[in-house]
Amino acid sequence: MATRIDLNPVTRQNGLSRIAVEVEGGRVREAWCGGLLMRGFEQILLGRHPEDAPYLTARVCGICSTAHAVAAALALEDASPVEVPPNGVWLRNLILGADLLQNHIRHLHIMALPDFVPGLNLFGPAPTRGDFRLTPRQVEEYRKHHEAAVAASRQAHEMAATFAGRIPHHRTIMPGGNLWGPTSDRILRFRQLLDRVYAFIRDRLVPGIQELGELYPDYYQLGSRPANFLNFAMFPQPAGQGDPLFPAGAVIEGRWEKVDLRQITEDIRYSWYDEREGRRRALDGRPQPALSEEKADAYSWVKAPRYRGQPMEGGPLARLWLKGFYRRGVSVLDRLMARALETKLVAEEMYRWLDALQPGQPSITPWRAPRRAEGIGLTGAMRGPLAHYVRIENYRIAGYQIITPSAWNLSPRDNEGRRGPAEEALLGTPVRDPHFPVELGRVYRSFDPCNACSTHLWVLDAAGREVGRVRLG
Amino acid sequence: MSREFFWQMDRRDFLKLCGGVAAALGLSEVSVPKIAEVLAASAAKPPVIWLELGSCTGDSCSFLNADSPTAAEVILNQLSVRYHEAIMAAQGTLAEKAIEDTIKNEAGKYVVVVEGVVPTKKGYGMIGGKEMQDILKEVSANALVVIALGTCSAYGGIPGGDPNPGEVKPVMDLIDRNKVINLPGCPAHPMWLLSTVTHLLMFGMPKLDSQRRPVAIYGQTIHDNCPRRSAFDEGRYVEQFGQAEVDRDYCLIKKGCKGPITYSNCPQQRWNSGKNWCIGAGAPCIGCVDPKFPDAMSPFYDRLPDIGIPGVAGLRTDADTVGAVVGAATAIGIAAHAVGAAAKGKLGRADEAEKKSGKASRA
Repeated sequence: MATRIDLNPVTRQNGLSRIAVEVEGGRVREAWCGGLLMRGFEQILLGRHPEDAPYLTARVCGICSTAHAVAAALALEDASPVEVPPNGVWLRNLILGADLLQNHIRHLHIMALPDFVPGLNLFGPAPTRGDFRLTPRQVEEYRKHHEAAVAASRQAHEMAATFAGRIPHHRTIMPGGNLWGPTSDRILRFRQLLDRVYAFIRDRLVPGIQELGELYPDYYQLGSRPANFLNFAMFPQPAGQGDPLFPAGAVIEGRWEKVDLRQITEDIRYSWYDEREGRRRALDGRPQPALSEEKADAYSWVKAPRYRGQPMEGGPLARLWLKGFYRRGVSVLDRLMARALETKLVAEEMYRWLDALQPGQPSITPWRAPRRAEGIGLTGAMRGPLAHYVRIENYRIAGYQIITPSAWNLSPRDNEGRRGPAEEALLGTPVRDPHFPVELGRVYRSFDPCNACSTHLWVLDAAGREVGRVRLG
Repeated sequence: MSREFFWQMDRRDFLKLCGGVAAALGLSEVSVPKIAEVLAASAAKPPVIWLELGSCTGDSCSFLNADSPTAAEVILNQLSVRYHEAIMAAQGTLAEKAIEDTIKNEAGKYVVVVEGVVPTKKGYGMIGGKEMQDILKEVSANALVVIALGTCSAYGGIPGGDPNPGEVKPVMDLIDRNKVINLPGCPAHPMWLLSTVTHLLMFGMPKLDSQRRPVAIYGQTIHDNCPRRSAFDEGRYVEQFGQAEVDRDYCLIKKGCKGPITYSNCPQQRWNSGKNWCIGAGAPCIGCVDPKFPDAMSPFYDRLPDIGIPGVAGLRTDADTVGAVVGAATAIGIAAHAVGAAAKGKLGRADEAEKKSGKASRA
């Protein structure tokens, strides 16, 4: 007989989401992931000046705000081409890179590790029981790392602020480049902070996750799914100077192919939208489907994006896989390991971008809003592929669409009933104690889920009766 | 862990932190020992429940950037944050018990921090099957003070921008207004929260303006304290982004700076451990702390209408008095465009689009 566990919402993540699973014989038999917050950014952007988009869309997410800014700027540059000076390209890379370091350090230490290491509490009480396998000495080490991580993530944001004014929610990324240029004192300050953050990544972050792999080797098996990955180019170089750090590409069942945007569709069979139109091609400039809150089968505000009809996973593992840098497997620990290794790789690359800056040269080319145009901006973001589509009419935004990384990773079922990537990964997860399902959190959080916040958990029996109710912190 | 942690902190770092709090409150150095005493006294440690509602988590993220080494941990532990949906380590019954015990056993003593908008349209923001506004009302009922952290919870912010799809409402319109302190900002500065809570501990409720903002933080315009102010007065303006003049601290008013109508201590406080701030990086202020943000402030890079004549400035007063002054003396340029922008709603939207689009901001 199946037990149903409903985690609503899940804590230690950005944004509101829910996981529901059915457990039979101690393992997850069925899983649903839903996003529970609707803010309607695409509607709010209508009628506004296009130049406001890089700033307004940053608010889609407070922990990866610069990725949205970059995608919006790229979309506007696609709509009305302008050559971004080399300084502008490097500065955007440095700002996005610093924000990525911040994100990955905070995700691994504040969101993910407390599932494996007891007592990592920045706020409130900490769990002390559960499947914890560390010696008190090891726990003490991780606690020291935890404090260092809080400092390192703060310093990563200070780096970004050097060129972005302040962060979260940058003030300088614009179509055409970056408002604030490089001078020797700013470069020096940035480098000094980067030295400190890099030392933390090299000496503590990466070894810490490697050690976790030795303690929890079974998590190299759990949370697995087919190797279907999608990435958009991330950290470009100035025109004519070579490939981006992370190339665009799709992997379906292990086979690489170039990204073809026409193959991206969005299904809304299980989302709270009016589905009279059926399957929709994404990024085609058509208006959003109407909201349909009363739909019986729907369980998410997130739509179900698919590539060639396949659910695709994005994020550090996808990027390192496509780059050929890490291909050990697809699991909870592979995702965490890839995130740690990517943090180190990006930090190393940042030294090169910093060296390429030219004080005294421009960092932005003024951009003019076109009377009528459309554009697409694609970038890798912290959690995976990010797409912004803009349509401009009469110099104002007449249409805007965003497909976020978490829409890919945490998508609900599609029109054919195929599960989203996180739903796939949850299948087969052992749950020892339904009242304390730490395993679900470990699998789900390996995606660095971003939907926001916290905590209700109902345990229901097969007939749907509530047999217990717990909160997940 | 909190006590341990606190005492492990180097005394020099701790006094540095207290000094930062004193500066933020506009107190003299003499008060530092008193702040240290208050922060150290466990009896004065109020429980905090941090509710994350319809948010981007930007205010939490900003709060983690609190500076002075390990200040975040110290203050958080001193404040005894019992519950924080996005960040707390606790799972299961432990977390549930923390919030329920606080509401029940410490009625009238705990502080609620609200981050994010409160949608009132059914289904637009649900936690555990409950509407966010019901959760807010339930948790706030016994609270000593409710701090609306960030522009979203204080006034609606970007999700409340036209057409306000989720019908979001300010926290102060949904619960007892007299309990609310608004700390707007997109995001809010960590020191705004730290200094406000410290004020609560030491002296009780801080002095608030009619929008329920602490006057100590939101009492003066950005323009009044702007390091580019002399350029404004002398008529040296940045005409186009990318000009060398941006680096020479020319005034950004022609690139849409909303500093003259925006009230906050950003110029003094600066951001990210004082490393920089918007205008410091050549980016015009967009008024993200304003009750009418973003509609009254956009387009962000269009010049404020009716800009005052340089030299008339020096209007050192708070947001409330400005309204009164304006009524009496509309000749004061700075104040006049404050009213102009607010009355106009979304600055120059579609009707003026064509006219404006050719202007200098995109030249």
